[in-house]
Amino acid sequence: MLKQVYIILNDKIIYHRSYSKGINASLLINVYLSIKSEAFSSIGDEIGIHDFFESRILYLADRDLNLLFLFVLGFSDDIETAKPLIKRLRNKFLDSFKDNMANVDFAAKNEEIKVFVDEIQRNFRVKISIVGLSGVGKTTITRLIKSEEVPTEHIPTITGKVATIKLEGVNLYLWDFAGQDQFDYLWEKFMTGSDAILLMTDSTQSNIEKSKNFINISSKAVPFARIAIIANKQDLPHAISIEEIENVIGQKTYAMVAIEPGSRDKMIRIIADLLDLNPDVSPLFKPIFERDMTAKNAQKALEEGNLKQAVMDFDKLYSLCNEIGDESKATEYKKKADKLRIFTI
Amino acid sequence: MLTKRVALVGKPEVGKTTIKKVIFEGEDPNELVLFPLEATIGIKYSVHEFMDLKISLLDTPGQSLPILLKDEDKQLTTFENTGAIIYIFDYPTWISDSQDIIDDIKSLYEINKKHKFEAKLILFLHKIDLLIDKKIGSKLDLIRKQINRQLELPEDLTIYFTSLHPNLVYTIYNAISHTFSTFSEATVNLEEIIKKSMQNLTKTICFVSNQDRNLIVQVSSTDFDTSTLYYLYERIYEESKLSGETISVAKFISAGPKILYKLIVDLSSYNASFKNLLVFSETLQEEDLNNLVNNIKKALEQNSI
Repeated sequence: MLKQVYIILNDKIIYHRSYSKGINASLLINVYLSIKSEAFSSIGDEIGIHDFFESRILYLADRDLNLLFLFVLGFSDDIETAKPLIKRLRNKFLDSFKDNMANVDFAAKNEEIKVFVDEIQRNFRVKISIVGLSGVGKTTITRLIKSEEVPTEHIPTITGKVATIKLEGVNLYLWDFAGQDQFDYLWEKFMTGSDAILLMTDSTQSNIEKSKNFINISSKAVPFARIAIIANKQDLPHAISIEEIENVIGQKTYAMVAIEPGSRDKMIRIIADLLDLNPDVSPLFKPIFERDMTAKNAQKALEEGNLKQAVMDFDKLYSLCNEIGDESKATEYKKKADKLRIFTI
Repeated sequence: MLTKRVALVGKPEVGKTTIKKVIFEGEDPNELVLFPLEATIGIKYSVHEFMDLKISLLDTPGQSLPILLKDEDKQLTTFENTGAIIYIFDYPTWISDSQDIIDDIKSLYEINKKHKFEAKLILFLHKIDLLIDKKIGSKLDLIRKQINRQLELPEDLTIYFTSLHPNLVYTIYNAISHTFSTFSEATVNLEEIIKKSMQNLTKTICFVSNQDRNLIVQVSSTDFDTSTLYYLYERIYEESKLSGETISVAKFISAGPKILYKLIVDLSSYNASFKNLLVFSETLQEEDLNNLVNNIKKALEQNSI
């Protein structure tokens, strides 16, 4: 996925857009200064790649103008697809600003640049694969996200379906695969190129055991993709708890009741959380942003010995996490609040 | 000064020389990630001071690892009189080819036993910044158990998880400090004292830091939740970046999913190599922690007489 875009002119960042967590601006300037000489040398290609910890940087330099375009990508991204897109960004940018670059106030032009950067980001089809055995609720949730009618009968999916989630500037493509056992050999192929894998389970013992296989397939097909478990049908009486599922499969698990109306927003928030999407990409993500801010405040309060504030923050985090569908984190925060509460009396 | 030999081994491009350059030669890790070093040719020797020790470091070429594992003469020159053999492997290779790594480690174990080098075999799983996970503490814990299970050796090997990522660079300093400190007599004695004092305690862990604020001793009770360790290291490192006073203010520390009671005490009056004794517990509160610290101090006093 295209995590970030930076445009650097004369050693200054004149534009940057973050779709998800990548390299923060202060670190990036150091990275830029390091690759600068290579990027602007008169020998070699104008496009280059640099791996920097968990990100892959694609850059395009315009030597004459002392201008550099940077894409911060993930390891699952196809560089050959990205190359023409960074060229397109350069071309669009130069079309608009080449004539008067020395005098342009780029801060004021932010909205204008955002339009074509968003257009380019949309070409990086963010692929989220929903996998899992037959009947766990994959199609129900995909239909829910597309806001189609939710089927009450289980009609098995043949091959796959793709649902698009349109957010501001980012499109997420949800791939729903067949869960039928006979299509085993296709899963690895379908999962290739995914930025994230959502493994859905119906929260029954046997299903959870069998679902472990998907983790093996995904570590072969997409070793650097984020994975999360969606434990569906948590409303049924014998549903296995989130904590238990996390212990058995060894991956972060979110609670879900796909047939409930609030689930669409919950699902989108889970995907946002999983991909570390920037909160300003959609107003839906406000609880995620609030959660991150409150967690920082709680930490600070604890460090300063301000227990009353820490307890309040942890209580707030408990309700925010429930809102997002992150049950295990919510329970964690409640335990923390309770532990400290005794000392505030 | 006691001199100890330490050898760095591992596959090519795993990060042996980079780690050496960052820790011992003050190089910028970000630069080395952007512009990787060339392959090491031939063993590189260097000598460094660490607390009351002299460390003779051997940086071996990754490309020669297969030869080293087969050639007895090479093994003798490389590992004779070695105190520690550090095998470094990285997270991406562990994901794609774990069997190959397991084979390497098993070979090193056999070589160590056969020639009676009596070196400690230590593992560094490097580049963990590439493991992006919301539950990284338990993930690493799982990997640690997985590795030891696959090795099937009579004892569990010590595994450190490391990375040169700016947010995680403390992991390298911790791993190195901890490894070297096992050779320091004063440190080993201190560890024994802490082990004895902690005998009957539950869900508690003690660390000792040196003047550079790296952790050199770690003793935990058997029921301590090891998945919180990763978060604990992070918090300790964060807090030690602040001024010395702030560390002692709060009585609690938040480490991942848990809140632990904490107590930090200055030990430097007992030995210049030590700085702070840090005690964290899920269950023991202020009084019990104070008792523990007093027991440790008493034992240290008796020792120096």
